[in-house]
Amino acid sequence: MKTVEEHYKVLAPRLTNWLVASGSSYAEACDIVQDTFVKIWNMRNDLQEDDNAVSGLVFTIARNIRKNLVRAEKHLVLQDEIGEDEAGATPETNLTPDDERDYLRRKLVEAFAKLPPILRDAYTLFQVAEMPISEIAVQTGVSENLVKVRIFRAKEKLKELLANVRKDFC
Amino acid sequence: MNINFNNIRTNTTNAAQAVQTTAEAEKTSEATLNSYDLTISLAEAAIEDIKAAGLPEDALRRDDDLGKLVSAAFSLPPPPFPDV
Repeated sequence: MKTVEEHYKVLAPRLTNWLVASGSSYAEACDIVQDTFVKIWNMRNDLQEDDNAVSGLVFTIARNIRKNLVRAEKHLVLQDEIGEDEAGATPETNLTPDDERDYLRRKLVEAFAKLPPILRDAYTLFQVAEMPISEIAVQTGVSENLVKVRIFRAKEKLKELLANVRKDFC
Repeated sequence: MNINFNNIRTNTTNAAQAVQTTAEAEKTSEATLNSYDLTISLAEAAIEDIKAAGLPEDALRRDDDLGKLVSAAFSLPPPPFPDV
């Protein structure tokens, strides 16, 4: 059976990036990841051997912590509107690779925020959290086939939303 | 005053029968609706299967252009393991 630290090594990077992709700041994502694993640590004797079950539990706890944070802070997690000027903006010149990655990440988060929540969840869990389809189906409470269809639709929509950004980076 | 008990009895019986018929009709309607719900659920599941079967082969690849872009952008390091 894996230790909590071993689960952390695999799941923490996925969870951190998924939280950022879903609208949290990096600092907030780090806090949520740590709080999640404190809870997992406290439950360490009751954890199941199945890795997918632990992964599902980790993501569910993290979601709940974030929901509570949002309620407490009363702020919007996701930005629903992208300004027209900003949407068509291109990266500034003389940027370092880190700046470019930040710019790209911001554009992607904005595009994710424009997706319907069911498509956004399916796609970010698939691509950013690297969850298997079967686990996404359990997490979102729908069939595996519907998850596949949602991922496909999300991809198509993202390709439209990111047409300008992809030209700059691909 | 003449009271026609036969009429009263007949009307009461008719009313009771009407209530019973309505109750039975409601049950039948509910069963029919449940059967429709089941049919709709099965149809929806079948539609999902057809849609999933019709997806392009590369629809679920993580390493296509978009996937590479997303993976590159979301490669932030996690925080250290919490101090437990």
